[in-house]
Amino acid sequence: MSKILIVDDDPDFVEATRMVLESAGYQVISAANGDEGLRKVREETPDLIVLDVIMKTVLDGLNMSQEIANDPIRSKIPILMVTSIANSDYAALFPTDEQIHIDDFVSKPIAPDDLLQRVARLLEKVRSA
Amino acid sequence: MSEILHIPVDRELSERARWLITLRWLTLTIAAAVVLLANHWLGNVLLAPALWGTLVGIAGYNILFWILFRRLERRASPHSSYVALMHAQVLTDLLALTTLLHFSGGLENPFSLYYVLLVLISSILMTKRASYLYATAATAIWVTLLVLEAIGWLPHYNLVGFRSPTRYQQPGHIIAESFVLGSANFIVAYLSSGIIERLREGEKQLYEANASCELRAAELSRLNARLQELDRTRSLFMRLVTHELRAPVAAIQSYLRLILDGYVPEERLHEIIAKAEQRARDQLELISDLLDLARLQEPKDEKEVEPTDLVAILHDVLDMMQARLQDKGLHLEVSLEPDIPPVAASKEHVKQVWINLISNAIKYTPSGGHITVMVECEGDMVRGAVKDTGIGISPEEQERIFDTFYRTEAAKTMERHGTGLGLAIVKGIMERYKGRVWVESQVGQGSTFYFEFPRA
Repeated sequence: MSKILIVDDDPDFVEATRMVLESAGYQVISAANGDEGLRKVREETPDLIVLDVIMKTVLDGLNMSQEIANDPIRSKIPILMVTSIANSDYAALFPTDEQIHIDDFVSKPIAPDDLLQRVARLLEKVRSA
Repeated sequence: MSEILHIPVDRELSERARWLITLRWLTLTIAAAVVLLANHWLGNVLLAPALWGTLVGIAGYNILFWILFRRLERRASPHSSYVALMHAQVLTDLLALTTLLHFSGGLENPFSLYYVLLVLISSILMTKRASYLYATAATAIWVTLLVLEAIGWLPHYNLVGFRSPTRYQQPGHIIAESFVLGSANFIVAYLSSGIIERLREGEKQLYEANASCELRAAELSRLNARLQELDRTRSLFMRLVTHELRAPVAAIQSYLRLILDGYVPEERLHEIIAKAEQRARDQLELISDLLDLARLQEPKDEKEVEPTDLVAILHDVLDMMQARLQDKGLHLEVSLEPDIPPVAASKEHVKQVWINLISNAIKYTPSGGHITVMVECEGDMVRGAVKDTGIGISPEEQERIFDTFYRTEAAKTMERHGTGLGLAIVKGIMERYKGRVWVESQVGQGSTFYFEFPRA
């Protein structure tokens, strides 16, 4: 079964996302910040990353996606970006997806069915590629 | 002589000096033409070699002045050097003109009116005082020449066929010539220096107006930069607040969604609802802290400052905290100086400072640790301190702990819940009453927070 890494500094989000993903049979690991996230990416090579855009430093999540994009072995791992700012007035202040390496985008709070659909689609895309 | 020019602009001064040199070339050309024409029409009556010699001399000193002027310009010399150069030029011109007149008939030569031109030039270029000085000098040198020729101390060269050869010795003519030229000199000096003075005054005012405009423009752009900086800070703060306010609501909503959509198994239902409820409580705490912080931004109302007993409020707060202290097994020590005077601050704010500092100490001190609370007098201030044997704060983090939303990594690890606003509120309160707050700490050893309120 596919292994999914959740990177988010909010433990309640990790908890909620974990419950949804585990209910669908995925194996879930988690990290609370960008550094820990990168370490787990390298150690555990997950099949997909669910990444929070705002962590302890505002651009932590974006930096992490850049790091992964620059890593030749791991740049194939799809990233699902999660954020609470997508619909806010401040979304315009952040880089667009042309500048950052992400594969899909969902906003907080998480809608379980939608999350599962997107995760399945991303994993399918990688498998068929 | 630096007061000669009112306008402190080197450029202005050097332009005038340059103008004088150019003007001299022009005059020299006219003089050469006059000598040529006079010789042609009057026959060889003029003392041609002496006149040509003088003209060559004038050309020579004009070149010399030009070289000196260029040197002044290159070295960015002070005003006084330019002024001295101008005086030297006008004086030399006076002597040269007199020499020319002497060799071409003296009193008989109508070009003696050119003295007036020299006075005019000096009044344009220099101060009123200098122009009177040159009017006097021109008149004196002219009269001296006439007298010396008349009494025979200097030779007289008659303009043959042009004027009567004995005229130069007639006292009536000498007095009339002297009076006409002298009066013309002083009238010109008076009129033109008066006009020039008013022009310079206008120039000076314009210059000052310009200078003060530039000053104001600089001040405005500085203020503008400050406003932009404030605006950036405010916008960053708004972004942080938005994020902090959205996060708990989004977490609660996610949990509720999970329950509604049936992702939460029966046996975990209570646990998940409890987590959601905790986030709701966090949110309320955050909103209340934000409101406190916002109220601290409002201007201080004089009524809120009252004599407040720091110690009495401390006892109230300790009573309130007793249960939490005991739950965590922390030892409390209270060290009070006797006869502590009241402080000038609102009771509500003093209470908030004690609550925030003591509850931080309780939160970040492991079970079995010690918390010491002290109050003492320090000159015009009353100092309170809360000392713990907790996790401590690194020097880099000590600089940021009073920032809004900042929490140290160790604090976040030890205690998940916290708004990151408690110390920002304490700092805001201390600044409101012209007091101060600071921290001394060592990682792993503990922290001591000090604050000082002014005495009532």
